[in-house]
Amino acid sequence: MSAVMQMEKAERRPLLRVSHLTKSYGEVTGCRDINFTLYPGEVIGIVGESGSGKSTLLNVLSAQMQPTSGTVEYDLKHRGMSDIFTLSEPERRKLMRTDWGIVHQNPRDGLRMEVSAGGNVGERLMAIGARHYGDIRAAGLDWLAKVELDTTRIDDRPKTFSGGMQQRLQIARNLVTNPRLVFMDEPTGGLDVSVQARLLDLLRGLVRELGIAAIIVTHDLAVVRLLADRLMVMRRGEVVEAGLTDQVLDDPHHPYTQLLVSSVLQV
Amino acid sequence: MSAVSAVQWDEAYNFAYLDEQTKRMIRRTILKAIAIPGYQVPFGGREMPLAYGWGTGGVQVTASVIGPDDTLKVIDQGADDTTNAVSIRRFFERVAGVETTETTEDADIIQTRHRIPEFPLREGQVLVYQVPQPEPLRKLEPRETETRKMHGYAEYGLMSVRLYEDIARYGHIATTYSYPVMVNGRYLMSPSPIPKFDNPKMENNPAIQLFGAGREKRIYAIPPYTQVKSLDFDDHPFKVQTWKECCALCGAKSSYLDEVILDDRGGRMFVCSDTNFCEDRRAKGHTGPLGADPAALAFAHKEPAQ
Amino acid sequence: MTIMISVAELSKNFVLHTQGGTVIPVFENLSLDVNAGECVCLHGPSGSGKSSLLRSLYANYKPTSGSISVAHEGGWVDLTKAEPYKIVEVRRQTVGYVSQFLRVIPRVPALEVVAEPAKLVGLPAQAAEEKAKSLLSRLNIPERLWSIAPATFSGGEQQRVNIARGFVRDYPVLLLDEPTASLDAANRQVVIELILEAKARGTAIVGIFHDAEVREAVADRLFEVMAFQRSAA
Repeated sequence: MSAVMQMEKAERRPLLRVSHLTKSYGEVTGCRDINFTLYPGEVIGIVGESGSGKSTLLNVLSAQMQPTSGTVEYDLKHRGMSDIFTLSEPERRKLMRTDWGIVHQNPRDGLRMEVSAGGNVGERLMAIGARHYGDIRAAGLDWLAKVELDTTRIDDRPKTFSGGMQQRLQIARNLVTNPRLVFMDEPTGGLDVSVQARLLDLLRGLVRELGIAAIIVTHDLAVVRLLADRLMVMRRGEVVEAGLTDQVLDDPHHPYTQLLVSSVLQV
Repeated sequence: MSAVSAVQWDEAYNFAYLDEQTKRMIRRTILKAIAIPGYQVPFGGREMPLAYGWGTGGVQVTASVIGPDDTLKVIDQGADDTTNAVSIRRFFERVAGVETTETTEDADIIQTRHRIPEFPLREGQVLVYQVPQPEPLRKLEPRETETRKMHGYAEYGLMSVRLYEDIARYGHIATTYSYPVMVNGRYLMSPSPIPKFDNPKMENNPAIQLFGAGREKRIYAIPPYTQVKSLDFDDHPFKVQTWKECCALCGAKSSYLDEVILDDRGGRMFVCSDTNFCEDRRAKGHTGPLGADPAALAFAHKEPAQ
Repeated sequence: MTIMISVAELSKNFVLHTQGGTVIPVFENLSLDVNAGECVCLHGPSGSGKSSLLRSLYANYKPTSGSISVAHEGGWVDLTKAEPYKIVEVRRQTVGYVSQFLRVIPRVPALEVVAEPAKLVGLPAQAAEEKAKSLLSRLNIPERLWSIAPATFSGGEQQRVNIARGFVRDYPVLLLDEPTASLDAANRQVVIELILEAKARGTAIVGIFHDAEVREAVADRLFEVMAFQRSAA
């Protein structure tokens, strides 16, 4: 009896369920018939070369784009599993700035460059009603420290920051509301290798420590090896192989995955 | 007012300059604006015989609501005698033949740039504000599509970010004019560039307050007796400006003061920005520290531009 | 005897699509049960499929057919069919794996690398670190190295960090891939002791031990992987 109950407890409840998701641009297919389930705290990587449809998929999953067909269900805090495209626009926008985070490849797309670092971090808190300056600032300092930014720079604008610092600020800005799901589009793209390593390690620590689920789009297999529990390999808009990250990378079955893995240069 | 007043205006123009269809269109816009306090209603702004930035929005609103029996007051930064105020007053004397006044109490319509009169307004009066930028979020969010959604969904966190930036940079909310307000608990609104000193006067005001932005082609309104709250933080509450000085001419301690340079030897004084209010007090015998100073009085009695 | 791992009719081959679809068979119809407290040594020459079998037991390789059942929290999980999250859970709770090489993560210090598996199952940070320290000491990793990321460590030091990480928790099942390959005699002895202690606690162990001394000290039986090579290969 108790063993059965324990087993049932272990069956986790999904956070995000994607069914038959397709996005076409007229004749051109962005992504086709995508299916997967994401559980709380799980990190999934989406890899593939440019034009494979991985960014399109991320845009549809994160409600930044309407799908042509299929559903994206999310475990809303007060409603349970709901198709995000049946939500009203304000509900969806609220979800995107509270329970979700979106980290853009280019920090300029995700930050307000004319607003100080503290204001960037505090914006989401103010959006959900925080009206105590001291508290907002304390949260800003706390998060700058968590993403290893010099807290004395809280009043500096992000345009005075390096690319790596801007990316870390973008992460802090997203995580301040304790989202349960974060979407990341090439989070290390455009950064120096040494800066990449630091960012990856930081992300890895935060994701594990906070139990955040994440969907990470990248063409860099080292990024998913380090961050992702699971992997989906995309080619021409379709998922050609999926599974545990180390399974897919160490024992690839699909010809395209084998090509992808064998093409990585060894250092 | 008599129903058969002998109104005379320059008959080369339609009454109040605008054609009747345009005035109806603007009146419909105004009705909608009053029905949705604080909401910016787009309208088909017309070319006016003055440049954008000189009050084209306010003039169109005034032209649409003014009647032959109305008395008009126009102020610019609180003064009845500055060029812009005088010109607009003359414009309406010519195209509508209306009476004009400098006395707040006597006016039916008061068009204003950057101030609310010190004397309390009464029911039946209309205060028309000239507005350069109707969108309080514009400096932070350049996309109109996005700011419209923010208003639509009451997503106003961004406005607090602006106040946060003030405190972070200056230690207090340094915004002193165009200080954003929430109208009727729903719409975020720019009060036009009035000093924040005047913000509390907007709340529960018996008069109708209309805002016209000519270049941006938007009209919005605060109906009488409406809740108008200035945004702030719990630990940095909204405060209006105060002065150590009183008005040098009339001795008023509770009015909005302008600093005036008297000479090139460092002489200066603080005087009421509302000229009508100041004159009224002096006429009633109040006097300030420079109330008998000839140089200071020269400013007080300067003639309107000819 | 309690069976912890039950492998039934397992087959594995590789299809190399980048090499014109060449099929490389590894093993076929392989069956193996491992009991609690038992240490099975996978045996056979290089290329006989020992590593492939061990990796399959960790669900790192995907077998072509057959099943691998692991006793996990009072039930059985078939690693060839389980959902990825279930496999992550099995790896976290039940099956530990000591690979030959340490996968180094930038900036994470050795002590943290070792303590992490214990923290992941909810051991308080301090207790996990105490355990990690005692293992690092036993494996003769000098204390000055504990706070350094192991990227710059020698091969032998990295392997000992890896072993410490594998033993920081008392996994019910432990998979060991040549854990003593680059160790000196003294450290080899420590590893033997660790394995014997684990067996005494009831851990089911499957390992590849090339070193005859270690094999004789820990293995209860040898399992010949060669026996399951496809005869027609």
